[in-house]
Amino acid sequence: MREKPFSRYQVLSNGVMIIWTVLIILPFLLLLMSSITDENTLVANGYSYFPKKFSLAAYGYIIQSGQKILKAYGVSIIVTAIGTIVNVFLSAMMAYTLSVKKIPGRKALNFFVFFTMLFNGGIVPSYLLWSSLGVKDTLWAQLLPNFLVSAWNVMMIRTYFTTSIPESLYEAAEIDGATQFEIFRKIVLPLGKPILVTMGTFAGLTYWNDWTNGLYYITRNKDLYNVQNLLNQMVSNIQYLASSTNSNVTSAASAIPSTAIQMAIAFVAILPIMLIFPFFQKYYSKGLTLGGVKG
Amino acid sequence: MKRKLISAILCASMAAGLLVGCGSKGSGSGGATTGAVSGDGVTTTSYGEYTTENPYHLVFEFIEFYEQDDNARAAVQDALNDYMIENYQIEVEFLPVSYADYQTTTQLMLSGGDELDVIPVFYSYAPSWVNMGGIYDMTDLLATEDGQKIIDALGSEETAKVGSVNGVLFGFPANKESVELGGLCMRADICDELGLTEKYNLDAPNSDTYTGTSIRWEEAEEIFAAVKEAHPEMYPLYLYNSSQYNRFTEFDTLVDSFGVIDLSEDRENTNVVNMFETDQYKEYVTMIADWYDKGYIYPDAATDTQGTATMMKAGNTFSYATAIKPGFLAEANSANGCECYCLYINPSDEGYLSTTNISFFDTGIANNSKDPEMAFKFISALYSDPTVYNMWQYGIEGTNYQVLDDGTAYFVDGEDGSNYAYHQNSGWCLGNQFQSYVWNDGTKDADYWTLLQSHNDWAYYPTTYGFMWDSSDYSTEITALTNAYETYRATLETGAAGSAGVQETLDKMNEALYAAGLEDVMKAKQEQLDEWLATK
Repeated sequence: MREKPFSRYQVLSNGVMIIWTVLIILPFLLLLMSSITDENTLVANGYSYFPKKFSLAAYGYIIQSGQKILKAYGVSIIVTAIGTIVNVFLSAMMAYTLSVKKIPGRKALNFFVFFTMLFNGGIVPSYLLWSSLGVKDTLWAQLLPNFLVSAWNVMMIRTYFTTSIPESLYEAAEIDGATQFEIFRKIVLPLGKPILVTMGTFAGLTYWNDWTNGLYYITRNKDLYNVQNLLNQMVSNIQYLASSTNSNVTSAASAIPSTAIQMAIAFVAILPIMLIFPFFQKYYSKGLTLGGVKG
Repeated sequence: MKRKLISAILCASMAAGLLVGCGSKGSGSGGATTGAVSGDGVTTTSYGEYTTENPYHLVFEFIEFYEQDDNARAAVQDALNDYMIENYQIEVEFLPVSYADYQTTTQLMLSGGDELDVIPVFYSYAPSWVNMGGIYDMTDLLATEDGQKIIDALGSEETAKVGSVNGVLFGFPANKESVELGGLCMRADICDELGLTEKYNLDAPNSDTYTGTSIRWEEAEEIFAAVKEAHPEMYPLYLYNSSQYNRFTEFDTLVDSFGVIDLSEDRENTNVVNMFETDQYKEYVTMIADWYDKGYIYPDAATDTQGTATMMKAGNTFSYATAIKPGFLAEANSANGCECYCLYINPSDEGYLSTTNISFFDTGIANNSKDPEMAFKFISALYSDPTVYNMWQYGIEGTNYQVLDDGTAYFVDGEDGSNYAYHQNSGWCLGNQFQSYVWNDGTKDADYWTLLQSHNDWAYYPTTYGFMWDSSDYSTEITALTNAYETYRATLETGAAGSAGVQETLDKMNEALYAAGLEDVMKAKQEQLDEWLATK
């Protein structure tokens, strides 16, 4: 039997995916190109994939202004690393608890987690809570509020645990005399690796991309700004300054880094994520399909 | 049963959120008594007694427009405190925020009960901050000796009270050039080439000190036409996505420009009208659209945010519309990287003062303040004590700045605008900069403040001056109106709609505005204005 090289469906779906991919990659490329375009060329000719004149001045500026961006980078890396590990660990523990059917009060616990998925107290009450706990202007401010445990992640992991790990494994372990924590550590964690890595990536991305914590909880010690905070501050400063008609405000606008520098910082901010992502991709797609299909 | 429980919890949590959000701290009692400063370094207020050993810790929030060195700022704060503790028994803590974060940060701190005393209050946020109980009412304190110093600095009680809404005095305006006269900033080489320099006498000294040539916008068209003809590759006029109508029209915008007073015919006018239906506005957008069609305006103006300096540096822009104040040219030359001329172009030559112009940023007291009377003393110092003010603005004399022979100030040797450690340069924002040193950037004389002041006196005050409407019940409408306006603003005000499309776009915008509740807002403004006029 002769097999057709490509079915019509394959051609169509691949075509769609290729177009989709191109649409995603092109803006990135433009970001990169505009960050290495000469500033005046950028202004005169606008953004272009093939700039007339290249210049690395923007990156030079970043390296020169050094300390501030390096510090922010350090904060981002520390917070993302710690945040991701703690997030995955706590979420997994919570998810395992919820996945054990015989646990008393499981319904109430489930409701508790589910409720926070849909509702939250809003900015002001959260702000009151966290500032009264003294996280303001400390590294904790970047780490603790909002992202430490995500109800959504817990639910995803729970679904994975209940559907993908056979219950008989738990029973066997229990007969062998394992405690709950041993089951969690020796059976659940190794078997749940795909979903944990996936959720870890989510958590990591959330931490890396977050700028709200810095905005709300860091007012005095700007050394604790992360990369996104710096970028956000720069961009929104430009917007605010540009939208004002007050002459004094607009003259302050000229002190702000140029377009190419903004692009360069944006690129630098994405870079680590882009570099790390391929290493986790294997688990990532596996975790997504497994969790998705069976959940 | 379960559903009931859930809704009960929901209600409770929402109510708690509301309470927390709006909970106002009871404002202190007996504000009328002023703190007494006795000569021996003791200050007593109705809240407590402070000595040089036990000073009042005061948090001073301000907006930092330019980057400062953290260590230098800390040194300035220490130096300031040496003086403040000795003379006022106040220990100041600087809390600089960036312009972009200012609203979010301040609002959270006000509702979160953070330690906060003296704050900048942006006039359009004031009604909602006052109503959520975040701002201390300074009316009683104004009657004290310290209050009198502020009145003296601002010139009149009327001006000192311009930052009031519903009888709550939320802040004092900064002393600055409140009248904004505007015009064109143009490239000098092209002006020379086309003979514009002689025609308008552009190279006269002090052409930027209110005495320069002044024309009307209709006449400016000739300039653009000449530039277009001689240099087809250039954009004669650069406009960008930023509201510029105040350069072309004369309105008291009553804070938000939804319901305004038309000042073009009658300066005593107190009739609230829809700005976007006035002849004045229509003539303005029609003129701009015509220019756009003729190719005088930067084609991407409607979406562009690059700003004037970037465009001028790129070399393909001839001019841009801007506010012009004394000293403007020097700033423009350095920002634009080329020599520039300026030409005054305004609807009327004298300019006018409105609540909006004066009350831009105001200095106020947060209700979180543990001792508003001490906070008020600090504000009073910002208006009447040059030592405090100079130090906050320029740093330590000899370390951050030096006083030149003519009585102006400049960076110490070896520092300039590109490598300084501490130089706030935001005197127009808070307090009384007219008491500080004039910053000598090469064009300003020691009597610069007098020059600015003289112009404030020269401008006219419309009848509505001093009126500030309470928008807090209409915040949803204002948001909807702003969105409706933003949808069409750039297209209209940069001319991108084109002559053919102006009327249609204008009609659509008015329809959207009325749908968003413009009628209600105008009615409320008119009612409040009438009430205010009756008590005046």
